Amino acid sequence: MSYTCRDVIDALARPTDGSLDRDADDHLAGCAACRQRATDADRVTAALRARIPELDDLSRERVLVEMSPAVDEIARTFAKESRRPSWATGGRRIWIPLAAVAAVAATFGVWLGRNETRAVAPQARIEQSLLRPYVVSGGSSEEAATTLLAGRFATLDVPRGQLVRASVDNDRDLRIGVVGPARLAVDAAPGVPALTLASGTLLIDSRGRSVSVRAGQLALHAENALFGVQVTDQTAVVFVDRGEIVLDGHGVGAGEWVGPVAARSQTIVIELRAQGNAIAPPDDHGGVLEIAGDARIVTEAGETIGSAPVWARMPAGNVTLVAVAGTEHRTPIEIHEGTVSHIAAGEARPPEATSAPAAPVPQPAPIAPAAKPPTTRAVSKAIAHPATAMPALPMTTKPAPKIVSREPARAIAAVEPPKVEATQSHTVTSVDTTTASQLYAQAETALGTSDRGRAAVLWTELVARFPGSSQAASALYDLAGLARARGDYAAAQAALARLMSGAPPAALREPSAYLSCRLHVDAGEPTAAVACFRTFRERFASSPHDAEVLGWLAGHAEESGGCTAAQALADEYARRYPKGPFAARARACRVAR
Amino acid sequence: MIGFVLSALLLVRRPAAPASDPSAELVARALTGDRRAFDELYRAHVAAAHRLLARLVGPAADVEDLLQHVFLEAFRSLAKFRGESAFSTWLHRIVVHVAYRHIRRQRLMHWEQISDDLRAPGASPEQAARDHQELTRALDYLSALKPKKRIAYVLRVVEGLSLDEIGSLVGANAAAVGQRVKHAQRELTAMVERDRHRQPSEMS
Repeated sequence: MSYTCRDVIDALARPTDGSLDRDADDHLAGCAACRQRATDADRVTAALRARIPELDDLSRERVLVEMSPAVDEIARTFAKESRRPSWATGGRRIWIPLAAVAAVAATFGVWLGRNETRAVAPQARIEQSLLRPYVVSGGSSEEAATTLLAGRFATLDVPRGQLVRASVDNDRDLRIGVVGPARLAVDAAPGVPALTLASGTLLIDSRGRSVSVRAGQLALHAENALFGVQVTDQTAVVFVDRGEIVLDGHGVGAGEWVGPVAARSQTIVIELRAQGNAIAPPDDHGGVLEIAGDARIVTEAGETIGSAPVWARMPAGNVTLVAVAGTEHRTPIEIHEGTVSHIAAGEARPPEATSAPAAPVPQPAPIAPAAKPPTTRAVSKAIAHPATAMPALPMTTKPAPKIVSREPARAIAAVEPPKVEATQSHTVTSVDTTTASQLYAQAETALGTSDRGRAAVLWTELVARFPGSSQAASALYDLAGLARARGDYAAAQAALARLMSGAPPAALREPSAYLSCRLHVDAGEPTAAVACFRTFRERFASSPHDAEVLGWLAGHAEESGGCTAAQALADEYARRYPKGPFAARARACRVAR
Repeated sequence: MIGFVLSALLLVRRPAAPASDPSAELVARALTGDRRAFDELYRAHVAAAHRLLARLVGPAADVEDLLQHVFLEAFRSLAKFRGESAFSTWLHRIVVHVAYRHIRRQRLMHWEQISDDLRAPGASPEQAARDHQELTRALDYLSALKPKKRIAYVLRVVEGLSLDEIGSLVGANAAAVGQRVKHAQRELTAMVERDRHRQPSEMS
């Protein structure tokens, strides 16, 4: 068979590697026009087979985030559908056997007419407990961070060097922090989010919300607790900072570890206190704040945001940021709904409107110094370890039991608290930072091996040798925690008084004030505690401890003067923390009135 | 009567999904409202769906929007997925359908701005410029084809699918698909020749 020019053109419409069949080749050999056509066709197909760029991870997640609300709706619809009896959802074809069965039943008697064929589908499971990130701290691109902050996720992969804070179930009373490298998934039995940590470090601050966690071989349940879980190589360890968790039916209290000693890492305790003091998720979308640099960022109210570079979804309005990097820099800034506000070290850019027009904002001052003193981390590290772990503030003013350390007994009683001497230092600066940092690190190491005595000695030495350093401020706070752990409330108050007589770093201001008030509770001084907490609430209106403090104040008022006396506080609690641990009691009090 | 009932019951028996389809369980979970299953289905199939979509519509700026349409359409229609084919095949049918609608709306668009991402790795700037020009021209030719012919041509000549495979994706028989491909090739050849006669220096 010999090919015509048209046959050759048709033969070109096949996926070829450039060679055609023999008849076509014979034709091409004698037809210059067709050879040209074949060459042109090859050129067109080669161009169309050009490499297609793969969809990168970021774009993939962005598409998922954008369609997420619609998918939520679809999932809800399916859930409703699957709850209906199967005969109501099977579409037209399902009526064929139903009609047949009905006919048979009508003919042969009653046993087929008992309506037993209405099998009900299994209860649908609506997964609503998605993770909603609101802070991304550590290296990230703006696009990646803002995508993360805009979305809700069933799984979260956090790369090394990054920390992501998120709310679960869109509930401000259940906050988590994930320290990378980590992988976390959330699933839900109705009402109780279940988190599965495949790897990495998970910090959980549950304020009256129940949560269950599976990590390696461990399965635990918690409510109203601050605790951390770390999984490395299938080995899981848990540390509880506040409250109590239940692990295999056994309670694990504040300051206690679970898991192999060798696997216990200070990363958990270091980050847990910051998580306990972390800024709350915003109620609404708010705006996004991007802070460049390398300082630790807190708000003036003492709420921790994270280490820059950091992106945070914040409520619209004014906030004063404090960048802590050896010295402190304050920057008032106004956050606008739907905008991204950028603050870089040494420069400031106005917000870029994304969904709302950008309103004029005050130009922020430089937020972080150019230098990066090695003391930055010490401020946060110092306020987080077992020595300062404490049970949740009781909602009662009955005499608190003497605090007994759950750690192995050590000869710590002999260690004297630091001498309380007036210090006129009003600026926290890094002096001889290497040595101060080394002393601090040595104390932390000692504490990691439960050697509180040596830790106290090292911190006392640090305070004496470097009284104006930020490490000394942290050490004073830690010494107060140690003194409290052994029940020496006076020594603890003395250490805190010395700390607060100077100019404590912003990251320590709120925790120190809170601890000071807690010491009055622990010491059985309710009158002093009430006064202290009232002052505390005036100074730190948006404190992360506010729910606890308000609950305690309301509880104390109720116990001393009944529901009438507690009315205002209980109402405020019920309004501000409707899911908090005191909420039920506040509502009961309202009913009793 | 009993025979009638049994035969009626057989009518409603859903064909089992291919045993090897790893997405079957995810589909079943999604149908109960399990929100996470949707995300997992998306992540499992988005790369292939994107690749096919980008082939069919070209390197358009709105491929990500189209991708959203594909998955939302798939998720909304999930109850209609009967498991007679693999989920991926069913999803690719939706990709083709979305691409078809898009091409119908966007016919005769000119490909003046194509992303540099398409540059072959290691290509020199001169080579990249030539490749870019060739691709722009080829896409212009494709844009001039009717959507059904264009889709058949791309799936056959560029993607290398069999006529039967294309038929199952576009909902036509193999013979009809073969005709579309053939006519597309003829039209493309004519367009190229016409261009060559107009601009002999560029085509050489």
